Amino acid sequence: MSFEKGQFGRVIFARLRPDEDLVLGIEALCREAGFIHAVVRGSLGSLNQATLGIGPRVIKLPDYGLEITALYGEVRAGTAFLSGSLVDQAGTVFSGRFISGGNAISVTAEITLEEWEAD
Amino acid sequence: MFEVRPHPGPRHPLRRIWSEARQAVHLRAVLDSGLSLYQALFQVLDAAGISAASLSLFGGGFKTLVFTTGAIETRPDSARQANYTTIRDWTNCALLYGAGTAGIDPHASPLFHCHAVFSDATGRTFGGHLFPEKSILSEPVIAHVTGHPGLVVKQSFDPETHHSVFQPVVEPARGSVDGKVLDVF
Repeated sequence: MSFEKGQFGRVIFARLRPDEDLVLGIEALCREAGFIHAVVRGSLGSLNQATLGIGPRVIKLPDYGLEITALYGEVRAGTAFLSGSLVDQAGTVFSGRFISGGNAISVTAEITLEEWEAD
Repeated sequence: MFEVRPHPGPRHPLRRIWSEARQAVHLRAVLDSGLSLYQALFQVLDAAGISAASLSLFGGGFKTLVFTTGAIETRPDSARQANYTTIRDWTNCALLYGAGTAGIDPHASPLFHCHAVFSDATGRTFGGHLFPEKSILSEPVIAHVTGHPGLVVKQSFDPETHHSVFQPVVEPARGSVDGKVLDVF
């Protein structure tokens, strides 16, 4: 068991432009804003050919313009751990962990990160 | 398989752009049934004095749900790489979860960008991009709101993608090129 106490600090609202990687882009935002740890708040956007991890398996979705319908997770000492869901053209939902380097933004991503300051 | 087009416009040098508030304002809100998602949300945000926010939504349902999805663009009269697909108009759906950004459009009217996942009366699950003005709540939806005091989130035309998208516009907004942080004016 482990836990830490702390408080929320600053908050940023960001736009990631096309071809930025979702995971690497969020890590870069934290680095550039000076956040050591952060939590992801309500964020959305779209991806091209997303890469999701489901347990040990990694799947690649072939579609472009996949809508991000959920994005949950945190940045911990500069490394992002993100999971959520995507929707394809038919409205079918796919969920998993977002694999670093495999999730290029399609048109935009609206990302909100709140700084977590551990005591 | 269709050929993938590049985005139609010039590549903007800033690939990440953001603005920062000293501290967020957090709300837990109940969005009233009988109203559109748009009316129910901005009723709350107006009362709380919040004009820019990021939201997580869950629970409740829609009497009328209007949504679309995204896909690669194939129409010859459009230059976009990706675009919206057909608009679907469904009834009696439960909201499972969703995310959204509240800001303003180019004319300074409130605008809500929302993606969410639903189930229909058979339990089938699906999702997409909502039309909040046309989607009418049948049961209250819970919203966890992260408000951005002092920030302006505004929809504007993006010459690179030919889409109108939300961007942080309050000064000082910041951006970066290859890790170098820049002020954006």
